[in-house]
Amino acid sequence: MNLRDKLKKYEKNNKNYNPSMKKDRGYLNKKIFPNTIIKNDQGKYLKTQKIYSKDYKHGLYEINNFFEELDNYSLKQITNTDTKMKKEDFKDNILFIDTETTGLMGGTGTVAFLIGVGYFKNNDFFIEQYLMRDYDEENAMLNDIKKLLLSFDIIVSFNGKSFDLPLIQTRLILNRLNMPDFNLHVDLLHSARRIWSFLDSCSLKSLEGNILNFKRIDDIEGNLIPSIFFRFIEVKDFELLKPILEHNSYDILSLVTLFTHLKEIHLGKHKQLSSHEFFHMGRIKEKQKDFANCIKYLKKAIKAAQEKNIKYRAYKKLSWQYKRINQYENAVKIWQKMIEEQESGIFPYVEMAKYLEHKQKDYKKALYYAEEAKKLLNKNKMNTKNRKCNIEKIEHRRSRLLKKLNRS
Amino acid sequence: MNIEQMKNSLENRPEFMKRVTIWKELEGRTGEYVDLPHNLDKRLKNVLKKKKIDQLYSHQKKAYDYIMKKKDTVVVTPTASGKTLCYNLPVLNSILEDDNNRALYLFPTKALSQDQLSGLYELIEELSVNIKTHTYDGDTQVSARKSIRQSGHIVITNPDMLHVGILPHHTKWIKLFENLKYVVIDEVHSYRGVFGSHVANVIRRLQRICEFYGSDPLFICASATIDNPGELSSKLIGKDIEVIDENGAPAGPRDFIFYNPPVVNKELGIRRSYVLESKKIASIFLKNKIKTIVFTRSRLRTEIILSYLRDDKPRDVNIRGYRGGYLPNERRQIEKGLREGKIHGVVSTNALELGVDIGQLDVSILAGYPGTIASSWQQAGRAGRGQRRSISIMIASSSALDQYIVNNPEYFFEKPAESALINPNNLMILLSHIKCAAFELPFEKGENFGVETTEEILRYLEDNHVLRYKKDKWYWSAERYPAEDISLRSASSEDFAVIDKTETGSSRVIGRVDYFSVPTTIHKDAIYIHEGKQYQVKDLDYSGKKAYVKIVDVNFYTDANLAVDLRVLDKFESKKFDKRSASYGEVVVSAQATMYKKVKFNTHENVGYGDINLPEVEMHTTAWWMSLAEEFEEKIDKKTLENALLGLSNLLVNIAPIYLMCDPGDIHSTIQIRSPFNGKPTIFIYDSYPGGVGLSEKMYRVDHKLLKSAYSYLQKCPCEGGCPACVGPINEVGLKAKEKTLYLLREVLEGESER
Repeated sequence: MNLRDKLKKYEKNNKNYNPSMKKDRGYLNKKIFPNTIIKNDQGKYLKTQKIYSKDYKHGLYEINNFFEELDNYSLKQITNTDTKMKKEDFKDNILFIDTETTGLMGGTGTVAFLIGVGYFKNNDFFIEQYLMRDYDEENAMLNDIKKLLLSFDIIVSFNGKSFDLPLIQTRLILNRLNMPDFNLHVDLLHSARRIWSFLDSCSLKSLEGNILNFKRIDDIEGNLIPSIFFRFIEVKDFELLKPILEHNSYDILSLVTLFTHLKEIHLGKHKQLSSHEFFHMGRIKEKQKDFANCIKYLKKAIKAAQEKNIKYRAYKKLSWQYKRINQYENAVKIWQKMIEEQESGIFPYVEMAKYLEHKQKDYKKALYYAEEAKKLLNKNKMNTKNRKCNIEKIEHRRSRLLKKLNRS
Repeated sequence: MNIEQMKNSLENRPEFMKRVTIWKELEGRTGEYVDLPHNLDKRLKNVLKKKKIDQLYSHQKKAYDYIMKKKDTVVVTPTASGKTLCYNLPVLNSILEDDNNRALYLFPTKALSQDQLSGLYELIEELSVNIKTHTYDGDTQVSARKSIRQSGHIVITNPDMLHVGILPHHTKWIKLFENLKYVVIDEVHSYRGVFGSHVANVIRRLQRICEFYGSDPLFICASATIDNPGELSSKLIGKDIEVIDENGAPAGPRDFIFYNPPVVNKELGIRRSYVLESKKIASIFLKNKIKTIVFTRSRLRTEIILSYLRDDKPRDVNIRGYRGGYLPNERRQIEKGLREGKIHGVVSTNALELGVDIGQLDVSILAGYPGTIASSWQQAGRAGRGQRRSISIMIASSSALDQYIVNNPEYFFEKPAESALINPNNLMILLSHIKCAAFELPFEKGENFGVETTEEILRYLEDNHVLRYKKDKWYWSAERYPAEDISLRSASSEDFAVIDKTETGSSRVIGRVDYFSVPTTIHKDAIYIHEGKQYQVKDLDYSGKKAYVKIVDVNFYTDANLAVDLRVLDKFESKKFDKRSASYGEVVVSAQATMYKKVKFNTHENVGYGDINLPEVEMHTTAWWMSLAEEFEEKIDKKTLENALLGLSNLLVNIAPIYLMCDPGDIHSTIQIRSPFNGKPTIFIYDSYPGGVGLSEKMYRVDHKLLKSAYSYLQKCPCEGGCPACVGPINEVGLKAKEKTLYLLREVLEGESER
């Protein structure tokens, strides 16, 4: 038996493609989108280019909203990084990037066959897509991508820190090219997660639908993209790639809109936020140690709250902020309100007890709140570990208060 | 009592001596020492001197010299002969010389990697040089991985991690691959069979990646004593290798005793439990506070013997267990206790057989034959470091292999050790790794991945749209991440997962079963034994390749009946004698499981049965076969001949693992009373893995010896008409099987006696 027959026998499950697909028919439907074949020393590849005028609207914003008040300060709010760059340096210095790949698992065998980029030039927005039409075109394409990367200081991506950029780096290494350095890589996934982690998904698609007010029609499922590319290299029909190119340019436009939206929110210009968004902004400000704004956002979160869970969380956090800056009278107001509204569990009782015991030294009143907390716990019959722990703590507080009362 | 007195005391116990089949006194040996190499870094010399190492054993120096001359080297030495210095010296020396130099260490298990790490730390701490040494495996914290990839000088890992976690991401390891000077492969002898064949291919991939980054690392291997360390290592690394097998370490005198528990049931050939006997003998030593290690063959038995020993020990004697599944900290603590002498006894699985440092023990007890001569010496070698006297006792179980060894001690003591077989060019395995390699780097035209037929295989993958050929290169062109589908520990990529559903709401994969073994091992209601626990298969999702199991506590196991059909595809070689002919070649085995029996433990009684409804499975593999001359068909009636063939095939499968250095489950047999291939009564013994790993060819080379051993073994077997340890139980092979098998063997061997 020859080797090939043996291989066939061993590999029972090999899935055969349609054998009728002929090779070397040349490219079909070349004109389906505007493109040029680029030739360089390493070979050739295909590049598309589309120009969007500054009043082009994608979702919530027009392209030209992007640069409004974009400076080192607003960038720092979004990314927590201080670039020390001047406002005028931002112009024409930001590259948006998104890749389409032959697999989603990473590893050296995964290829970025399409690298889409967006940048501003002379007040217009350019989207260029670098496409290798087969494996032999990768080297030429990457050489030009590398040059392009070298001419921008800031890269903006969505999940690019763990996916797109390491993948490009791997491809460069395999082609014996090295990765250029950038001043800053803004991964909008991280910025978005800080505000919208309450959504079921923080994917770009989910953000478009839930936040950015952009709906894709007939968009291709991301996980189908690799197999479509594999089919394309067999039959070389550009019709197949059209939805992928469209998908990729939407991704890049959404990057711009998402960035603009983040900037507007951080600068406080976008006012119609939900209570969740206000709450998370409060958290971001807390982490940035901007406590004044933190309190402002948390108050807004409470005001906008339509369900008790988020209101409770905002109350809780807000009272902590007051405690932190020693404004106990304000904290007490919140705890009292929480007690009035009766939907916050033992938290306000415990806090009141602590406050009365340690700050006011009013043990009698403190004991009252401890007793109330205990009653509340006894009403709740769920036997969780948390509850057991709470009961122990309350008991401990009660007995200490009783001792103090007896002594005085 | 001291060890010498213990020896005399044993000799004066008649009930002990009655069961001893051999008492071999092995002489001690003085060490051969040489000066430290003059070109060794001063700092390293000082550290060694601090550790009271003023001289090296001769084999350590020889290894150092070979490696300095840039020769790939394998060091073959028994336990406790300082083999780690053989590779640590040149590696550390080269990093001291140039901080950019890198080394990769491969150990078969994570536990050994950990042990190596702590050993290296000790040396490096003394050196007070910042040589970054890390383990990199499934246990490595994600947060630490990046810095290990970028700046680790010595990376300690295992072949599985190299295969699935490192090579497919080689661009993240540039620093390592660009500067890789040494690849250390320890415990080379454990890379045999399917696992070894896979590892050889992983090394081929490693070499390709190194070539891409312009490095050409030297290979330093270390092996326990086996018959073919040079052949194995050179197949593993794909090039010639220098073998150092003279041992310069000293050794004390050793008494090696084989002990066979008495027969308690003659018809079934059942002996008194070796577990209880092992406990009894270990107790004698432990009561005298003599440091003793007991090796068992399973985790479960480790726990059983441990609890027996603890029930019957003086208060101040400290006995611990040691096996996989204990937490790393606990294991380190036990190792330390042993080194410091605070622990007197330890009961262990083979986890302590490999190079974990536990210091000096006096007695090793092997509860059951460990399966190979090499392992036996490794385990025995755990007792008696330095020049002190030691005692090793092997206590045989009722199994065929144990009985063969205990009754044929001359075989054990005369043969150096088994050979370890691998077949890196097994087509299934090769194909899998060519895929992985293509994923890692495109193949270039003319490239040779260990075989001349590389291009043919690449073309095949191209036609199946797994690779794409463009401008003289083959590119990976599929979505999958191939390494993930390929387990180094099995041959087929179509493994079934065994999932524990004992606790509702949780499910955990506890094992994998290869496609071919599914019908017999994880059919519905089968008892699946894992880590000594019994599980019952509650549901088998055949298309989803999953078996759901729950823990049960029953006193039986299940044994499936397999209707096997075997066809010969290709005959590679054959030979003819007066009364038989023998060949080896390629075969297709198709197997259909029809029903299973429930068999009671120990007594092997049949306590029930059930049907199996699963599709037929087919496997291509290699086989050895032996056909009998026509005259036998005239001399014996058909039914009796069939039983004799069955008996002989059982007997051969029982003892062949000794000659093949394989697990009993690695080979299977079937018989054909009139084979469609040649019309003669034929016994087939085939490799259990698709494509085979070379066991059949080896079988073909040694079959005369095997038949001879089978004959003398059967003559000595104390059972009456056949037992599971020889030709099989009477209820399976009939009353006359033993007698007729003896007759067949005598006749066959007469026909080739002059050879």
